Amino acid sequence: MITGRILLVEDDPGIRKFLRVALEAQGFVLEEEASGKSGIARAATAQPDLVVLDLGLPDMDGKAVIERIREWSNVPILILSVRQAEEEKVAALDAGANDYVVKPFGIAELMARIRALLRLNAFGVAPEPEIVRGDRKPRIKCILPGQFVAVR
Amino acid sequence: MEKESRPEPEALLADARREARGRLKIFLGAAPGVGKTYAMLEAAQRRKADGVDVVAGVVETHGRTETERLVAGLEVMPRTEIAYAGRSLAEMDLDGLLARRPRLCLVDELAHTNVPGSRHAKRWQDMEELLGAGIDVYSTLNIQHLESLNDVVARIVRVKVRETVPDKVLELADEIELIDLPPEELIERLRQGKVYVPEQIARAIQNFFSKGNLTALRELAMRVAADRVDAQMVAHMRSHAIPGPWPAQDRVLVCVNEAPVSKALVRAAKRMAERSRTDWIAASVATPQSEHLADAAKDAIADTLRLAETLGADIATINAESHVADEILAFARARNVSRIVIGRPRPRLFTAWFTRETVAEEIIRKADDFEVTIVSADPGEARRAAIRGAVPVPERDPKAYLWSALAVAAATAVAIFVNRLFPVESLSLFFLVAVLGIAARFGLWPSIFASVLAFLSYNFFLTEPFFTFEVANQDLVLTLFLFLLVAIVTGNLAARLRDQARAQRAIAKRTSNLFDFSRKVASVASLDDVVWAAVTHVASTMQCSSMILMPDESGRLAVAGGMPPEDQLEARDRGAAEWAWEKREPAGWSSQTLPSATWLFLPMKSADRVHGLLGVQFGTRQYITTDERRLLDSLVDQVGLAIERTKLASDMEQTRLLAETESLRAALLSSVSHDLRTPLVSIIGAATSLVDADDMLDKRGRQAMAETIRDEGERLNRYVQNLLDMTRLGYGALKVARQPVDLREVVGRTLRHLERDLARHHVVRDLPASLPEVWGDAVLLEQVVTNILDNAAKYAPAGSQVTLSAHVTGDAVTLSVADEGPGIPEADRTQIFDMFFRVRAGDGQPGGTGLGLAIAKGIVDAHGGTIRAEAAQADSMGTRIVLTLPSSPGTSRELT
Repeated sequence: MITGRILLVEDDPGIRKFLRVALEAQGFVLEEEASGKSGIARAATAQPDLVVLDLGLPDMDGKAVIERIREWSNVPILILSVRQAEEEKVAALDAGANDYVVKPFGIAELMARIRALLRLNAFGVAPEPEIVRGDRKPRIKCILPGQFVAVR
Repeated sequence: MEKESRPEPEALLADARREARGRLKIFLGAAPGVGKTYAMLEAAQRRKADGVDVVAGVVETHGRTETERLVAGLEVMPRTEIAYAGRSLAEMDLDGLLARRPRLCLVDELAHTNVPGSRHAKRWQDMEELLGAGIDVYSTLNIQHLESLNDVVARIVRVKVRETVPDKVLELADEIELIDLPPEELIERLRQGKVYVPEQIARAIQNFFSKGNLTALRELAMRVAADRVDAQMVAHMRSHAIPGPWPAQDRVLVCVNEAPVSKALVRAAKRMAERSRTDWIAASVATPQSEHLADAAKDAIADTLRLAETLGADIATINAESHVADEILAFARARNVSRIVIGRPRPRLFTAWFTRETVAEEIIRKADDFEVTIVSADPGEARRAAIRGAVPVPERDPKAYLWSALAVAAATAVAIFVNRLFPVESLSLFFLVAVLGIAARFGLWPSIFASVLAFLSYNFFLTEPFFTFEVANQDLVLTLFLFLLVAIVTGNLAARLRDQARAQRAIAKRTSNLFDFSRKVASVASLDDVVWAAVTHVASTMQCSSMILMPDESGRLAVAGGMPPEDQLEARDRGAAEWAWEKREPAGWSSQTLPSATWLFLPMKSADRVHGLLGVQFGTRQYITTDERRLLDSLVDQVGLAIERTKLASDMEQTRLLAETESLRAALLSSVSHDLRTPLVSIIGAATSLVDADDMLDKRGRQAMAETIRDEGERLNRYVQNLLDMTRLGYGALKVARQPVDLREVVGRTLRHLERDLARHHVVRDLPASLPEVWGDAVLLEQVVTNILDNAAKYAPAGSQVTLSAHVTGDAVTLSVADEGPGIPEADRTQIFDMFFRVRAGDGQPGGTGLGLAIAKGIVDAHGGTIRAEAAQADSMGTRIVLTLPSSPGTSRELT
């Protein structure tokens, strides 16, 4: 059984409440944050194996959160959002998200997607980024098995 | 200046316009009988064989069998019968053809004049309409019918052709096929009887078909065809940006007056302009004297200018007080004219050596920087109607002559009286005073009358032999001449002064009229007011009936206003109006199209569209003068602009409303898509957990899931309730069941209800027990308090304090709810009570429909109370919602 530490960034207390119960029941350790800024901070300090992120946050847009996290981490990011337009999904995935689930969702699907992302991570060869310090911006070379993520 | 290698926009535009039109091919012949109709039919048969839908609109076979054989295979549109002067005459069925919409239509004999009562005066206009409808047309035309060649042909063959076609028709043609036949062969055909010759001109035609004539006509036709090819090449080069030596944009100016030679001048100018491919201007000169021209002369000028307009000229009127030649030259310089066309000056009589030189001579003398072309009249024509100068018309008012007689009588009486008292020699001076006075007051003719009368009276009463008309003294004859001289000189001077004053007054009146009108319409706002101002102004200025037609909702033309009020149009007027509307061209009375109508309709155009039609009706008159027409045109322009302005204003209002509706719609959509769905996310998520992963959950977990479902279900219920309430408020269906209500109870119930939502806030109640009851609906008021507290719970951070307080102010009770949340920006404090207004937009905000406060306001308003938001703390943090409700009548406010 795959377990791990999951960071949930979601502003709606109702959703946080039932996800905590459901995810903890599956054996995950859950960290919760209600805003984008605190979520980014927690992602840095808590070293989660997966971030579950709501796109509509009160202080900043979810895509900005993804980009900030991707500046230094390859942690898989799963998006939860009510936005179901194709361009929203494309934008979020291009910003560096790994998967996208439209609200409302069934718990079984969410669990399956979380498991899939963690599985990839578990077998991954180079989960940790190689940080190259140059004369310009820090470059992050990032390889995830089987897929391209952000290379900047 | 370097020419940019870009297609000229106007050339491209003309091309684009041509795209939508049907294509026109003209079979051009030098004379009747060369076989134009035959060639047209042959071409049509070929097109038909290619599978093109061909219909013969009108084909004149003149009974020739070989021609009839060619018609045989074609579909022929039956002609329509038009009743005229008790006879029924057949004409091309234009409406039938437009309804049938063939790909190609054959229209023989373009120059044909339609029976009065047809839609258009001329067949070429019918043809134009077919082209406009996108139908290709094959047509035939003889060279002598071409307007600009009309007098050249007349000079060659000595037969004046009455049926003419404007040159623009030839310019419309995409293709011209010259049907050429050597003169010998044509004469042979004529001899064999193969040429149709109407009986009434059979004799004239003998001269017409002379070899010399035919050769000349043939050359003319070839030249037209060649010019046409040249013009096409230039058009092609322009539209394809081929650089070339373009002719300088110098214009030709032709000066016209009432003389018959003017029309020849116009045609000559047209040919010159065409050859050098330049614009041309036809101008008449308005002087104080020209106001006195006979109506026939004025009509002649108007006619000539109309001819120039149909030949493609800009027309202008040059206003000149006295120095006509100088004014013409100044105008020419201002308009970049390089060549001036004038008529040959009249041959001078002996007396003329003593008068001023003619305008033409002056122009020739002064125009050293222009090329001046002098065109002489056809001598026959000139003889027929001698050119008359602007001779003042004799004064017709009998009152003027009565006054003259009285003045002379008075002068006689005074002279006799003075003669009795102290006989003097120069009694005639009294009469001179009378003549002078009459000349100054009434002008030339009455003063001449007065001088003759004065002479007779002087002779009769005051010279020996008394009381006879006998002339005994040489001095008397001198007196008569003196009187006449004074009368003529003074009368002329006075008349000119008065004319100038009158002309100035007329110009001033017209200008002030236009100014008045623009001021009048500038101040009105609604379309109806503009229409009304326009029709009354036009009617009063032009002394006519006027109306404005505009499309109604269904797009049908309807009378928008009339002066005198009128809402019906006769069928033929209606037809003219519809044609003018459709074609954006003037139509009806005194115009080219449907002149049998009683109204003249002018389209009110603005930059890009036609707003309607302005109609005028002048009763029994035959023609509108150019001056009136010009005034009308400028009025129509102004009305069009004014209508455009009001339409723009109302469009902007519409757009604003639409934008508001649109933003409301967007807000509703976002509310439904995001705020209603958020609770559903939790409910579905929790429910699927219970269904799919029940075995993984412990008892506490299952409990938590069930609680989530319940809480979120309640939240959803509140949203839906809010939406429903709002709908009810919106439709005014809210019923307030008033009764005395204790606010403390309302607050208590609400807090119990929201216990879970406010669990993490510190709620302070400051409600005095002495609070009087309010007059209201307990259920609705609970909804108000719920919505306010719900907001506080959502926006204020956990652990902060929510304070409810109440006090009495006069006949009202004030309840306020203060929180320690982020507060509301001052600018938004009134808007938060609007439907769907959220301080922050999007889904990144606490769930809510944006309806809570709108509903609260709706309910409070229905109670006759007020609600407002303010900052709870000095640093504008925190929100305090203050609502005031009327206290219950009869409630005592004593302390308990």
